Amino acid sequence: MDDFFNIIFSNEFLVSILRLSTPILFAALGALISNKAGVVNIGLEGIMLFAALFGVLGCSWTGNLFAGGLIGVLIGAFVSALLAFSTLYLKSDTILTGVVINLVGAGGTIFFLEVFTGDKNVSTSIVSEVFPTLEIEAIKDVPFIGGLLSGHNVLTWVAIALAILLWFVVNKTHFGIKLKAVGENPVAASSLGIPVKNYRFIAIVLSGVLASVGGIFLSMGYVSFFASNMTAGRGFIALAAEAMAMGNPLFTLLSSLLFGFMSALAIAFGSSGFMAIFNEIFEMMPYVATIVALIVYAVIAKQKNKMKEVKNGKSLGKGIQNDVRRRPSGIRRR
Amino acid sequence: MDNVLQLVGIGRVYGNGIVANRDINIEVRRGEIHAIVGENGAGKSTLMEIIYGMEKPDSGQMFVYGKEVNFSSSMDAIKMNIGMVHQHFMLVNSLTVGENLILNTPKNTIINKRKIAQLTQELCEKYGFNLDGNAVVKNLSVGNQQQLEILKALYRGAQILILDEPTAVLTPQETEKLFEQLKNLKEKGHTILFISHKLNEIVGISDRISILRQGTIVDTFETSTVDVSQLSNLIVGREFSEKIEKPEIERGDVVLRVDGLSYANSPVKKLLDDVSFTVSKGEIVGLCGVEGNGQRELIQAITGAIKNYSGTIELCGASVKGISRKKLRERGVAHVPEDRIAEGLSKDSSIADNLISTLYINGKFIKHKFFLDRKTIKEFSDEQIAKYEIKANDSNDIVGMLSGGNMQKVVVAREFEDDPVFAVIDQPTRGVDIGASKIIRDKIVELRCNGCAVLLNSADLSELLNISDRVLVFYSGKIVADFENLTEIDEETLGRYMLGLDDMFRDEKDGQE
Repeated sequence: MDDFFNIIFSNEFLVSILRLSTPILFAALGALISNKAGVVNIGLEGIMLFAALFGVLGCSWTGNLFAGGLIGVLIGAFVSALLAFSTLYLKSDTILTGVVINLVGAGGTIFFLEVFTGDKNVSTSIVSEVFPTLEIEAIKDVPFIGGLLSGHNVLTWVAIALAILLWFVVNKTHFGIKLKAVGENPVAASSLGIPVKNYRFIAIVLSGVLASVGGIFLSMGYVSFFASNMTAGRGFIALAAEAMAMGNPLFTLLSSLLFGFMSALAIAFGSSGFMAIFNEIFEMMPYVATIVALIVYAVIAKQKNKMKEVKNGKSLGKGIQNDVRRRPSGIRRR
Repeated sequence: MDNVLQLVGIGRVYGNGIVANRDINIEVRRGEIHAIVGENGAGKSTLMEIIYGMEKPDSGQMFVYGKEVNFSSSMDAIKMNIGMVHQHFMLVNSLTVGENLILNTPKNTIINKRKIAQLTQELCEKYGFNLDGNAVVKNLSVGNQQQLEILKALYRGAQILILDEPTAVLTPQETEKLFEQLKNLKEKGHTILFISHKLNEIVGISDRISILRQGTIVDTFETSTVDVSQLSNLIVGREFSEKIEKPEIERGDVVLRVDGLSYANSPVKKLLDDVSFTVSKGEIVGLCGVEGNGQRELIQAITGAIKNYSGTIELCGASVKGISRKKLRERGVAHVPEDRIAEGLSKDSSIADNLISTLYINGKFIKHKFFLDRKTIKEFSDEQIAKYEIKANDSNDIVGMLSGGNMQKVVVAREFEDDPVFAVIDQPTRGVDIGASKIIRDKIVELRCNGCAVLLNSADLSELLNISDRVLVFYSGKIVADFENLTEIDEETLGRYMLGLDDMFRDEKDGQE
């Protein structure tokens, strides 16, 4: 029991929260950008796996960390471009195509792993590098502050920076509002000459690129090898994190941290041996948290809608000139 | 040569063989308000879409400022200074007014809120509009959303402005304001193409009128040469009278009794406040009021969509509180809902399937206890199609392909065919052309003459006054007027009650308090 509290009040625990949040945050930002354009990219999980594998392979082929990472991201981008092409131009169902990508990702990565390394489970037979962590000597051992600022992988900082950058892009740039227009009202967007399909294509590929960075973080930062199905559902958790954040990149950062915290807690329980018989239960925590989070999100959203209805003067007698809406209900629904 | 727009022999045939437009010739002069009228399905929308580059014509030529054009998308039309305000607004709800305004008109990469607000302000001043650049679109009233649409087109340089049924969603006050602005735009040299079903509006605002019938322009003339009744004859293409034959009949027993009905969806506002009235056999009771004053909630309570009301609603002496819609139907309640597409029909099913969707249950269309009897269904459907003059090739046509008026006829046919004891009819002719409206109104009267009790809610005051036997005016969730003798009242009088200026029962109510 003491062990458990020693663990969760240590700087290492803080670092582990951020480490576990990083891949989720990358993928959640990916989910966000495609959702903004009105496409649910359910294939994030598969895309992450492809990137994770080819990052490691690329690194061992080129001997260069960044070249390896780039290869991983390019493969991920290619897979998401396939998804985009298939759904946008061949009109396949987005969700089904995403599911296919996940299945191909799970099986295909094992296939390619065996083709290139001869292994079926992990890529330990080849040498791959990892992205460095940034230790800040001066504050490393200061409680809390040290854990907050020091000892994180460069990609963790990149992810946080991207969340802020994405907030700016979505809300403050022409590209951002066009993306929202395409997602929210594609007919309106195209009536203004915005090429809806092109924007969606770009959004899906960008979403794949972001998820891919999350993928290579797993195999080239979190650990130094690829293991089969190492994403372990993070692509789906990312979708939940994005939904909970209601499409706001900064809230996505927070919701990803929440999931990171749940995972870190599960690990802390596991390694401290505290209530060891419940280990499997603890390991479920991030996933249970996903479900709880989605329920809470749905309830809040419903409540909010109700409030809005009352506020928007479905109530009566309120300024006949101003607020009487004579649109037959349901026109929007079509 | 003052034609800003000229169409010569324009034709458009859809993939499924439907001829939307054929051999259309029209000239639109600079600085005029040119109304395009015609029945539902006459091809107005297709014609506008062709002018705005959304549809490509199969034949014919189009000239803008005397120059032949060939639009491949609406971007080309925008470049030629043509703008369109669609019936369903093309706005992005989560963005602000300013953001919608500048959408896809790139100047900088980064959005400067202050500059956009200033731009909105300047445009508003220039054209006499009143919008806040920082307001979020979904919080705007429908009238303001429409203003934004017009402003959007003007900002993109529109000289020729197409308005597709702009007044369908506006209150009378908003309509008046819109017309003032349109006249203002006309004086500034803009040309306006105006589609509407409301004939008095057309006569009031347009300079010239073109009539579209069965896909082609049959006539174009100066507005000053016609009046409303001549115009309606021209649209339908034959002598046409909007007059409804309504024989006097004896009122029978009370069918619906509403007593002390109150309903609130929040603690602060009562949407229905102690409403009591009856509807008897062979009587049409009209509900009247500015939208949002309780009529919708009343209908929802009667049809079972709202259950947590206080007071009683009795049908033939028995309460209907909490019973399912199926039970309601079994007790002889017919319902023509306000939103025919979302609630009244299955858009992707055939006319026949829609017609029997509430009737099959009584066993008439079932054979061998289990299977649908397609033959009887087809006979029944063909009969209804003929009886209600539904314009379709076949009873297997998909309802979603029909025009609005014909969709409504399908709903009405189904609801009226089951000999209802009581019918709730909500906005039966909204967005429906005059020909179809006449048929629907005739059928409502016929239903009443057969002894049905009818509750009619309509925003069309002349319709209410013409076919109702009694009119109840709602304001603020209360009945403020109950007119038995409809020959003595006019729309103005109704208007005073609708706006809450008068209240027949005010003294009575004060006395109670």
